[in-house]
Amino acid sequence: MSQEVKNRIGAYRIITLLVFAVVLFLILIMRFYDLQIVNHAIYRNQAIGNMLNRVDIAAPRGLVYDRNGKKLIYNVPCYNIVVYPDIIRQNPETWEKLETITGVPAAQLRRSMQRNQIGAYRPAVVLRNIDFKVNTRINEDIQEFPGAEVVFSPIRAYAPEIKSGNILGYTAQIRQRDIQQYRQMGYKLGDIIGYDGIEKQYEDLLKGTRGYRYKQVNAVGQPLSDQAYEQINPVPGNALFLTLDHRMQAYTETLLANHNGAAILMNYENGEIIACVTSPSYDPLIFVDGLTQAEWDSIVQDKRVPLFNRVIRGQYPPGSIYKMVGAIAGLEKKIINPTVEYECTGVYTLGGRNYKCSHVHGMENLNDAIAHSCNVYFYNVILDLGIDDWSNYARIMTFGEVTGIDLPGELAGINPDRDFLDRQYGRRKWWRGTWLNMVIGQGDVLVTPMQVARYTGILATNGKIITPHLLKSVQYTEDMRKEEIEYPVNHITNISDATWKEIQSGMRNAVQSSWGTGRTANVPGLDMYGKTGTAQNPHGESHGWFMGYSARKDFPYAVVVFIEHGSSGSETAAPFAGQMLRTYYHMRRQ
Amino acid sequence: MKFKDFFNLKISEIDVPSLILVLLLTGCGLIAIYSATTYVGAEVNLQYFWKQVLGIVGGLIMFILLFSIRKSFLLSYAEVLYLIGLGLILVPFIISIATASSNRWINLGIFQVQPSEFMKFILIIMLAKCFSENRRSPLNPGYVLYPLGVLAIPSALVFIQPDLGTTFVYVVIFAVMLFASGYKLYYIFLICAPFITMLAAFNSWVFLAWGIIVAIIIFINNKNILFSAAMFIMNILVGVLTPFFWNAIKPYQQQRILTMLNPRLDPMGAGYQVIQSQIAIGSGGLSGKGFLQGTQSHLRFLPEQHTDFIFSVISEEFGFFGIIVILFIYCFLILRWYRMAMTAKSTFSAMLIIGGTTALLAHIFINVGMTIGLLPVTGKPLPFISYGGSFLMTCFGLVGLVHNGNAE
Repeated sequence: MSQEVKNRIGAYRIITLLVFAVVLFLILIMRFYDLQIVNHAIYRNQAIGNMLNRVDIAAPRGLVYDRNGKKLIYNVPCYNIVVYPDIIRQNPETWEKLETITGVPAAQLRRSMQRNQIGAYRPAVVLRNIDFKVNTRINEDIQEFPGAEVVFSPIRAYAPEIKSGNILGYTAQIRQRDIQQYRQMGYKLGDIIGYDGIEKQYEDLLKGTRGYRYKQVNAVGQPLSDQAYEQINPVPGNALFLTLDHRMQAYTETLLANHNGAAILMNYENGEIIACVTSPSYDPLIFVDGLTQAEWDSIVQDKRVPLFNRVIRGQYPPGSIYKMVGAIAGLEKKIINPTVEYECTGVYTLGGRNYKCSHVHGMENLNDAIAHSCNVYFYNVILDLGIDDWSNYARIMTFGEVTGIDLPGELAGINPDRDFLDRQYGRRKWWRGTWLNMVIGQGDVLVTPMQVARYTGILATNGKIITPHLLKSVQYTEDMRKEEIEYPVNHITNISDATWKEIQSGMRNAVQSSWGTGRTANVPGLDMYGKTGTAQNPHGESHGWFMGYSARKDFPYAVVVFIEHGSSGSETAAPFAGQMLRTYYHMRRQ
Repeated sequence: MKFKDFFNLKISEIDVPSLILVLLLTGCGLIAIYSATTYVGAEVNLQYFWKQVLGIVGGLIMFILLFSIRKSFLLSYAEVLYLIGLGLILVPFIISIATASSNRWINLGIFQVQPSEFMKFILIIMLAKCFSENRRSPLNPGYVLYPLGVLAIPSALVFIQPDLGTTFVYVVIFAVMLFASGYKLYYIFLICAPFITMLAAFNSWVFLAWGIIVAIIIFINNKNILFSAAMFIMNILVGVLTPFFWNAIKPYQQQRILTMLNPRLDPMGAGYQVIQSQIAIGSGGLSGKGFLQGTQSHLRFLPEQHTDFIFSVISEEFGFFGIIVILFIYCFLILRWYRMAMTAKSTFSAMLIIGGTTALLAHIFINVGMTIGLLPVTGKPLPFISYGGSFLMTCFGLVGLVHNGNAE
């Protein structure tokens, strides 16, 4: 011990150390006091937020009714088998058990999981709409199926007699390519949204507000128990009442079943659409479970293009139904008066070219020219009128702009004017001969059937421009209040009554006289007016058009029928139009 | 030489209350480890629990070893031990160069040894010898030079491993022993001042105020104008150069330093750990959620919960009351051991006590301070409670060293 030196450490230094140590512990205790007593509530809530994962409860989408209160789109209960990808990966025997019980091959179930899966911890649907027996078998012995469960989820159903997927739309899980756009609106991957038609157009009214329930999870998001926590119930979407009449819609679908085309029946006083058919359409139900690539391909590659909504997106040459534009312009610009006659020799020669007419009509006044659909008469009109006034009156008749119908993706057609022709062919590269084609609704003129419906309404009402629409009223879930939707109405004021009268008289003769081109559309008693159109096109046989209306004050309905490659308007389109009006007239009387 | 010449086990000299309290803490640790390694949805895994029991046994052996080793032996062989310790620290370096991996551990098959842990004892013994046998007077500024050299070599080696926490522990052990040995406070101030200057340099007003304080202290304490001026200018230089140095380093390096000082800046890394730890502690409240009821720990939100963040588990499940009890036990032990230094028979003994106690205090403060977001996340475990055999043995060894100093 000789090496050891006596303890010469000063007591006050040790005491300082003691104080120092006490201070350190006091600092720690103060901080714990702050965390555990003062701010306890904040951290408790954070801990709860940590362990409780919000699980969404999808809101049932709103119901859609027709004008008579018949359900067109509704929800039906459906039981689906879902699997948790992370759990079933560790329990692959579940697949075989599911195969035995459902009869669906395990490989197919696996493929469904891959198709519908969103992350490893979120349930993925593998089989939809299982029957009651399978449901009870699985629920009785749920321990036997680790990683799988049966969940209830309402699915969208459509009135079976209506197949108009283009008009009603369909619902599906948000597609990967759309998620960016929808996420900003509060949607999440896996949400069901409306695609196409009414389902898309009124997504905001139909979607409802999702509810929540809380599920205990660990740090990596694995669900742990189904302990009940607070639940916020979803609010169902609002109910929509459409202007459609389901019987008329179904009837029109059948009428057009063997044709490619479109048909519209519309109240021309208020714009309500009673029937609106594009043919062929598709069954909205095929999208409910997501399509396989092969199914999708078969739809996309179908030569009849069922996904194409001809009513609002089909842009076709209107043919002779466009002649009233030239007639109105001519009358208003005093180029013609109703008594002036032009001679039709069946052909008109301009600049060494021959422009044909359907027949040799002889001497024709305006009324005859409309009723007989004489081209030569209008060749004379346009050459005197000039393109600027003509295209201006087409604009007044609302061509070249969308009708504003409440369906997504409407196109505006083309109302060719001087600027358009300059752009299309180059300055001074076109000549007056181009006009001759345009005045009879050929050449560069393109219209959609919906535009023609509005045009018919304008002609029937001396210039009332209604907005064609499908939504009549909304019933809000919140307070059950029912709101009638108002749509803008405009009037054409700078066209004289005499002009309207002249045009209408021609349209009346076209249908009601025995030599009129639209006589096949005539329905005795309905005081029918109308005009046929036969639009030549480079793709094959001519398109057939018929536009017309009943002039009865108690039956203010306009009809437009368009048949792709239907040879001529009087042969195909006009008889359908007559049948539609007659049928609806009798339906209303019942 | 006989065995007796090295070891002298005097059972009667054991401070029974402190040993009982230490064992009580290890008991708390076992409970907490059991809780921290039980997860919802997983099977009960007692592996950690039994390994910790084994660690306690090893710790007790370590305690007896360091308690009974003769001080005369320690004094005679301090330098030899020091060299061996340095050699051991270098071993992981050599291994990591050979295997191209970063590793602080030596794998001995059954358990792994961290040489920097053993260096703590050796450093305390070596420093105790330096301070008790220093030929210079503690009133002479040069008194510090030899011990500083003793500190510098292992600190530098550990720092570049990099193990910031251990480096900090070494420096704290040294600083407290230096203070206790009676070194003039003014000199201690001169050593510390440049580091404070570095921090002050980031705000011109703080820098100005600090500069005035430094100037006043320097000119009050020293008559030697030249020395005083040199000291003052050095501080100013450090202060001026620090921002230049700071701007010269790369932004990601700045970020790393800032994150080290304030982990909340990195919410997915160290920040995540601290945030989750604070949530665990805060949600525990006054009386805790109850044993095995902690949601933060059992649902795996807490990281490293059986080692570095074991105290958060205890806070969550036993609340403020549980924390107070454990902190009181720690505080009681630290005060009791520091007081032993006053009655120690020799400076060397007192220095062993002060070094050992300081090492434990530093670990407690670093670990607890980390869990409550007061100190950076350095990954230092909590003495006697955290899981880990190697660290348990270190802690028990330090208690043994304290007892050894206290013994006749």
